[in-house]
Amino acid sequence: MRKVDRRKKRLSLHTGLVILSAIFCTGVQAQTAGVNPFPPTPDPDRIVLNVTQDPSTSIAVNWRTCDTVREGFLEIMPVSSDPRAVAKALREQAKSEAFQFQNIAATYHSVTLAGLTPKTLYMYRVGQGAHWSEWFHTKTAGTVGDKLSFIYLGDVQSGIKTLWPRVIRAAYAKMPGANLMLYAGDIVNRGNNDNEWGELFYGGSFIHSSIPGMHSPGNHEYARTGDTLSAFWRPQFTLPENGPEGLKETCYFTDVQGMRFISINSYRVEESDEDLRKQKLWVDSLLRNNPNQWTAVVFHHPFYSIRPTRDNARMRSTFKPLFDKYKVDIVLQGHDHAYARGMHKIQGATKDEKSGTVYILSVSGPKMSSTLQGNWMDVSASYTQLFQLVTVQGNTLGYKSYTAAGELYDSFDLVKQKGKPNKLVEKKPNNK
Amino acid sequence: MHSQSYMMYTKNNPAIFLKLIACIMMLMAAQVRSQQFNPYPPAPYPDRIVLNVTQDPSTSLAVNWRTHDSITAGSAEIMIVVSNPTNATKANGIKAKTETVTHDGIVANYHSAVFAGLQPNTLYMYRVGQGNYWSEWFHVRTAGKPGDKLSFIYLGDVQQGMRTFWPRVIREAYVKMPDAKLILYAGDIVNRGRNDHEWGELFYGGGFIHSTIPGMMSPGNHEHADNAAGINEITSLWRPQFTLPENGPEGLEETCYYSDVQGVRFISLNSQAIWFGGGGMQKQTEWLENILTNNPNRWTCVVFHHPVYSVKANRDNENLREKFQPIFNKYKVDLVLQGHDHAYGRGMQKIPMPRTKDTSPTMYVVSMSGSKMYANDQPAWADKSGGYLQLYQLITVDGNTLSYRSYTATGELFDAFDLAKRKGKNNLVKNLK
Repeated sequence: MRKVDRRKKRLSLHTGLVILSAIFCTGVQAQTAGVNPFPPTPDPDRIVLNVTQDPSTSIAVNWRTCDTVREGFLEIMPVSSDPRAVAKALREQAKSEAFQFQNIAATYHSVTLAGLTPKTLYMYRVGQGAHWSEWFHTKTAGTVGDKLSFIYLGDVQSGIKTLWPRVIRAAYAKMPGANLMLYAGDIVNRGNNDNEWGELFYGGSFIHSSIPGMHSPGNHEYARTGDTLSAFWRPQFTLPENGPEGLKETCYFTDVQGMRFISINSYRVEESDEDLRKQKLWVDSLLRNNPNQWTAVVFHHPFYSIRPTRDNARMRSTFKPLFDKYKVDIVLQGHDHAYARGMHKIQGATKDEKSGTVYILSVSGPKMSSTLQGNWMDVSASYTQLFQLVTVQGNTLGYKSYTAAGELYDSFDLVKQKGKPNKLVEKKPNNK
Repeated sequence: MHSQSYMMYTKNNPAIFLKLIACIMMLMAAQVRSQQFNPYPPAPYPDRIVLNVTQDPSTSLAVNWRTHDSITAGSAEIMIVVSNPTNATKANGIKAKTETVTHDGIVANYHSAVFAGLQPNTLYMYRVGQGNYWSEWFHVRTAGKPGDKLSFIYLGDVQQGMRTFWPRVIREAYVKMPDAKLILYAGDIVNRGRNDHEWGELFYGGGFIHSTIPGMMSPGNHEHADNAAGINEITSLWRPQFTLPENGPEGLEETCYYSDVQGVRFISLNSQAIWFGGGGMQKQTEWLENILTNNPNRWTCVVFHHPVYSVKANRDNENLREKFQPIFNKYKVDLVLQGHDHAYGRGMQKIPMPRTKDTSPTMYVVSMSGSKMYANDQPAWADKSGGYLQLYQLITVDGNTLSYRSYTATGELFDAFDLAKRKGKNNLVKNLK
């Protein structure tokens, strides 16, 4: 107690306010401890890296604090194994925005920093004052020609804190050097439910802060009534704002080591003629002016579904002709809570041609569909949690889909051929 | 909810806000300490979920976790891993041992369970909790049998920067060796063993890694403190939060113990109890002799905190050299993994074997993983030394060869050697760096 008294005497107005803020935060924490396992606090949480338009030279990071913390900083430098070296870290102030939604009051902070060196391991931390995150390591993307690795996950949606964490952790343990991680929508079940986002960040833990995420929204990131995007989406992610007006950070692209990754907001395509038109024009222009050797498109509602009752005709009729015309290599989707991959049985631009694009839908969380009907599939699975690891080097894209238990379930190579569609080399294990 | 609605209300009412400040300041005065922000409060959901080695990790696994004290029971469920989530309902549950611990002003329940009868080298999934409050499902692979290739991680002192500089080290170690069968901690895992907050930081820093790879924790001086009677003892959090093998000498259970993993005998000594001499030393020399006499394993690795050979010029632990090194020599212990000195040293070939022309049959290593750092004093006994570096060590044992690799926090290879077993002779050392 003596210590406390002495400290009290020293309190200036400023430190008084700082302590007061901490107590407000603590108060919130104490009041909600029984109900909210993920309350915002003075310490940064939900620290997430995102892809930028050019992840070889720039980094985007977001985090959250309680609302009494009103500013934040990113500190970053190339890694050093001597802790004293961090005195030399670069400091960049965050954009900090007050966030009030339902019963959650928080501050969301974000920094986008350019001017980094490609293929370099950096260490960074975020926070302010006495409240900083740990130092994370993250590697910037390389340049065209470097071997690219990425993780692709289908819907998380349910079991976010029960059966999903093992999937993202197994994927990470198998490919810790992934340059990015793609989410094909329905990342949570109710996009406006703070607790579910809390579970997502808990489940992926420091992986979210180590590998940049490329999040594409699904229908579950939209409110059921009205067509509003999750109130959390834009404050908590910093995705490239290079998409059509009104669809920023849901429809966007990033170029990574010679591969163009495009996120389409498929929910808005299905729901709105205007948003369909805007995205069609935008995708057309992106594919037409594409200096990359490889192209992947990620979105939620699949062109080809596991059952006729789940058809997304608007998506297919809008974008299939573009994908055929511009020879998109691979399309990564979700929505159907099963696994399917097809190319050989899918028609190309004309009746005489076969599709040169591989279409995949997958699922990472435990919500599962049963019957699979559809004559487009070359490989399929139900009642299986999966993750996908993809590498691209030179003319070859290597694709592997693993079960949650780490068993190889599906695999193929796509090989570029001059003037001809990609050659798909089956590598699926014989027992599958 | 009460406090939140105040916050929203006050946003539009500056006068009331000022009065509130005055009220709260008064209320605070008596309670500043208890109101200080605790980032790691016990909750209904399990936290600090940690796997530990058992005496035989090929057939059993020990798990501990913590909850709020209102959760008075717990269970642990386990089954062979399935990718079909609907099959998770088939897991077997066992009831946890639950004890209430009041420590550092925090009341919490600590739960522990030992899964027995498991199959070797098998990927399992497990979760812990009860009612509406369960952990996620974790994956863990049981150890294999002697002859299977073994991988393990060895970390020197964490002690400082548990939540700043250390997390990157354990995470880098994990991604380089996610299939490690155990993680050895050579003591001073925190700075003040009696400080709940520091353990909170340790569990935060390692995150799910603690729940995925069994830990073999050996205590250092910083996990010990004098009690009211002036007796130096292990923190009262140690035994509730870990379930380490109780196969050591009486009074030193869970700090002095051994585990046999795939043909390697791993022994933890409580070097703090040795350092104090007397009974703690005597008990451990006798126990060590006994378990080294009856050792069916091809390889033997001993982990403890205070090094037999220091890497700092001003430090020395004579007790260990005088009482324990002769035992290591006699039974040809292969590898001794230590901490305490906050610098790096590794040596065998310059260490003499008393009364012979031979050199030490044992490789000695001192390392550190946290951010407390000293300079490299270039100790004469060491074949390799270093300072001001955060490091982690990845070790594999395959047949007659033990491969040791030490990496910096940034993933660069810093030190490397192989040991090869030879009949009737010291292990052959191949320096590779």
